[in-house]
Amino acid sequence: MPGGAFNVKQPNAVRRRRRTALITTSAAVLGVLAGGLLGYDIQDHRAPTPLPPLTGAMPVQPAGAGPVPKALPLAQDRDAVYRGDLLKLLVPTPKGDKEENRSWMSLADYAEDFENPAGAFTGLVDHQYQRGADAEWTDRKSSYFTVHLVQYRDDAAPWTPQEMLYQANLASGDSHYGASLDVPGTVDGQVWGSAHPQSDPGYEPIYSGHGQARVGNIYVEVWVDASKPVKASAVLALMKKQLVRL
Amino acid sequence: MSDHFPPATPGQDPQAFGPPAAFDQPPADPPAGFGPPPAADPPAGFGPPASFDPAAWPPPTSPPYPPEAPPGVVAAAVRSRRRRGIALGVAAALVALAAAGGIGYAVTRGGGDGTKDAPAASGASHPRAKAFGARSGGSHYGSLGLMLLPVPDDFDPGPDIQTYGNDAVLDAGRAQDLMRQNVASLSAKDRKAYDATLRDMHIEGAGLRTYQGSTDDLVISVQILQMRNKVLARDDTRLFAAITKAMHVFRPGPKITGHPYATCVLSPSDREEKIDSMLCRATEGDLLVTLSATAPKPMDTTAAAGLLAKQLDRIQDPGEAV
Repeated sequence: MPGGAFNVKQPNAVRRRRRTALITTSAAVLGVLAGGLLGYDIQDHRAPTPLPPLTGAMPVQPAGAGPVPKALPLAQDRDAVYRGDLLKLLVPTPKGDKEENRSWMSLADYAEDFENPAGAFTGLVDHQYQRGADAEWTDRKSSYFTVHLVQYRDDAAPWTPQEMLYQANLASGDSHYGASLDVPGTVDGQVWGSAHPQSDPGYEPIYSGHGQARVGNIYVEVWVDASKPVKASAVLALMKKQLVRL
Repeated sequence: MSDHFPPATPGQDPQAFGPPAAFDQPPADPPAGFGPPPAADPPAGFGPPASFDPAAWPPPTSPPYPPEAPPGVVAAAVRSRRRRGIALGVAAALVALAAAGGIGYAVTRGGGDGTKDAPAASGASHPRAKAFGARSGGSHYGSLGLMLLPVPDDFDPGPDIQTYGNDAVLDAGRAQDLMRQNVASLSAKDRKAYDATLRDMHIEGAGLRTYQGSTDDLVISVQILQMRNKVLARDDTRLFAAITKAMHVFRPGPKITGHPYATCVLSPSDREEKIDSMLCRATEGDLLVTLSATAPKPMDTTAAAGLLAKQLDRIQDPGEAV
């Protein structure tokens, strides 16, 4: 049965061909591996090729501290304003006027200025009064001028805006104050003139104009007290004189 | 209180004070020369608030506002201005007192020409285990920042002292500037006397720290002045005690446990002032400690006295080894 012989023979040829392919493939893989290992081994035993020399000279570390950077001009350094000497930031007593006071204002000093000093004291401590300064002077017509610069340590929870809002409410409800003006260039600055005097028994009646504004964390308060009605514009003029310095 | 060491002009007879040795016992009777402030030469910063003169400036307005705070608003915030044109009043007098010792010293020295300096700090060095402390004899080593009492649990860091912040260590130069600033309002003659004392002190530095009570009703500032002249450091506290006692103006303050020479005085009881002030002075070796406290009336002095006791314990002078 020739067909049968042919049929038997064929699988043998296929098997042989498969074996050949397997051997060839293994040899190729092994060859590549052996070549790779041999190459690696040769490279491993060779001395490393030195790197080409650097083209420039090594930079030299200068000895000592570097030069101190030039201080920013005051106009560009807000920190110098907020951390600076408040006494130097206070508007100077105008020429010819009589200086009544110019000093730092402790928390207790400031508290004594309030209607209820004991309550103000605890309130100021609570809201972290940081520091303040006070300037007062009299002009030739014996009007009395007062400027306060006050800072709270209130970076985390700003207190000044709330205080200002409260003071503004008090002032608008106070019949002694007259028309108010906004302070230009500030968020919530405001000044009030005085149309009606405050009078205490035994004292001359007195007109007291008032203003407040803030620049950064500096809270500015001003008062203009006189024996005649005080215009809001007069208070605003004083406020502006102070604000240009901050 | 922003400043501690301003003015005072004890108009006393220099001889009455005698050498520091006379104060080894706390003076039982005020020295003759101290008496009540002499009329002829009223001490600059003493007595009734110098700055308050109702005639000088119209009315210190006591605005007749009824306490009409809108409901819900803390009374603390009510602040129509009470009085105007009075800067400090009694508080100023107290502060002024702080310099009393220094000027008193200059006077007793006949102008304080510094002829008799204390011996300079000896170089005796010990192996130092601690970062700060005191050697036998009372000279302290280490940073003043470490010697200052850390803020206790029932306190928080307080307000700033001028431009120094609320926690500062000043070198000799800055410390002297601070002291001079505080007497800026004195007469030229007194400033000169005070300057002479400053020179005699051989100031080495100063440490400043402020505290505020967690209950919001107490503000304290502590200043430690380190000087090489330990004799002067000791005399300053004794003069302070003698002068305040002799003036009969201030109320005596609390005693400080464990520190018999520490002296505290309270502002006079004045109906106008709503805030009490207390000023204390103590010496531990080469350190002159000034504490000033303010609080709404009436001040609970135990808290401030306790803080001072802790501060003094921390830097206690170990005394002289024999």
